[in-house]
Amino acid sequence: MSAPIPPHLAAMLDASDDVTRSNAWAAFLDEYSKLLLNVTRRTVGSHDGAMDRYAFILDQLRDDGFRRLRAFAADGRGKFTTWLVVVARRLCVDHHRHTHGRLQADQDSTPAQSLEHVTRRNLVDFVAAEIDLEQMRDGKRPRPDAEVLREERRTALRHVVAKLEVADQLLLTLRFEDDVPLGKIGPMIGLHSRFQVHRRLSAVLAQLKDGLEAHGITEP
Amino acid sequence: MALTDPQHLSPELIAAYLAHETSAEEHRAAQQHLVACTACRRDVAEAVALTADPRPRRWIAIGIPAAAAAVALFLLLPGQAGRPDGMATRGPGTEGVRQFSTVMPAEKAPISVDSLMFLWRSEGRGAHYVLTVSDENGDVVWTAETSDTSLVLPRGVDLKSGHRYYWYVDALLDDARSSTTGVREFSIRP
Repeated sequence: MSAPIPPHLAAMLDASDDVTRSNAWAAFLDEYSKLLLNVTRRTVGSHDGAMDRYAFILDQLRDDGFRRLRAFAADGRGKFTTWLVVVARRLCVDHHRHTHGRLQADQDSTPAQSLEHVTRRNLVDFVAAEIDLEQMRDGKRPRPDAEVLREERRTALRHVVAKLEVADQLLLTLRFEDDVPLGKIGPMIGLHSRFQVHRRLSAVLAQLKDGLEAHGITEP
Repeated sequence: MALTDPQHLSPELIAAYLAHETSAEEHRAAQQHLVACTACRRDVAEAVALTADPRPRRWIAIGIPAAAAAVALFLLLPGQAGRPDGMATRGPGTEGVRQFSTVMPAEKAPISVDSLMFLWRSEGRGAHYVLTVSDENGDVVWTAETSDTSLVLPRGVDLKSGHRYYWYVDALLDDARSSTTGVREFSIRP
């Protein structure tokens, strides 16, 4: 069920005259400035930089008759503060781009195929380390060339990871690629506690080992 | 990254995703995108970090004074603390798992249900714990999660006088390491 639109936001969007709108904007700032400043401080180290970004965000939120804020109201799903954090972060990126030119690739990544390939390869590297892939035995090849064997194992692991449910791929990515603590992964994938995340992670790692076993790669 | 960049999840969709208000199809598509998109994962992680609700407390935390008293008790009665040898286990599944000590109730101690308090040694910052209490049949009579190192039994849990009960605490750290106290025993004083 959707949360109601916050009263200050509703008042601002519904205001029929400038005074009412201005008062509602002031109330909105009282309510959300702390959160917005938290966002800007986490994206830039200096106080001045954070304040510049804060001012930029406010300008952009007011722009074009609160166009961005109306987008949240029109959709009406989720928590307003969640939406506001994401919008503020992206406006910080825009501000950086306006003042310093385009960002480096890692801050401006897209899910293009090439990047996806890199991401998948990275994830496979992290997961390979987690399940100690190098120590597993390959029953089909008693004395293979080490490099060839390593690459074959990684290819097998890549296939097994690709066959996982997308939610489990996201779990592995968050845990091993992004190094997100278990307690913070839960809300990101819809699990309620770090224990549930831990259990799910254990199950997924076991599933990976089973999948590798099907490729003839087993634990010593 | 423009706000409406079609290559990224929209802020509206991220808000809906984290509130579980997406359709099944949207949910799956969002997760598929997140697997491949570092920028959107960062947005989601920041949104979670900055808007998290205060942790709900579904148990009765004892607080600092009681914890201090318990530590004092532990120091005064070192022999009464949980078995440091870590030999107790709850059967298959915990062999080789790192063990940590309980403080009270003392092993096999008869205790009044009104004064029953569970206390264990900390496994360090960031540790979370699950306490499980079971009866002589192995049926779980109460379990609770906490980041504290102490819990008291809620009033609704009925432990019978003269009966024996078993308890253990599992700890989980943010780096996914886990440890356990192994099974401990106490009885309710008639």
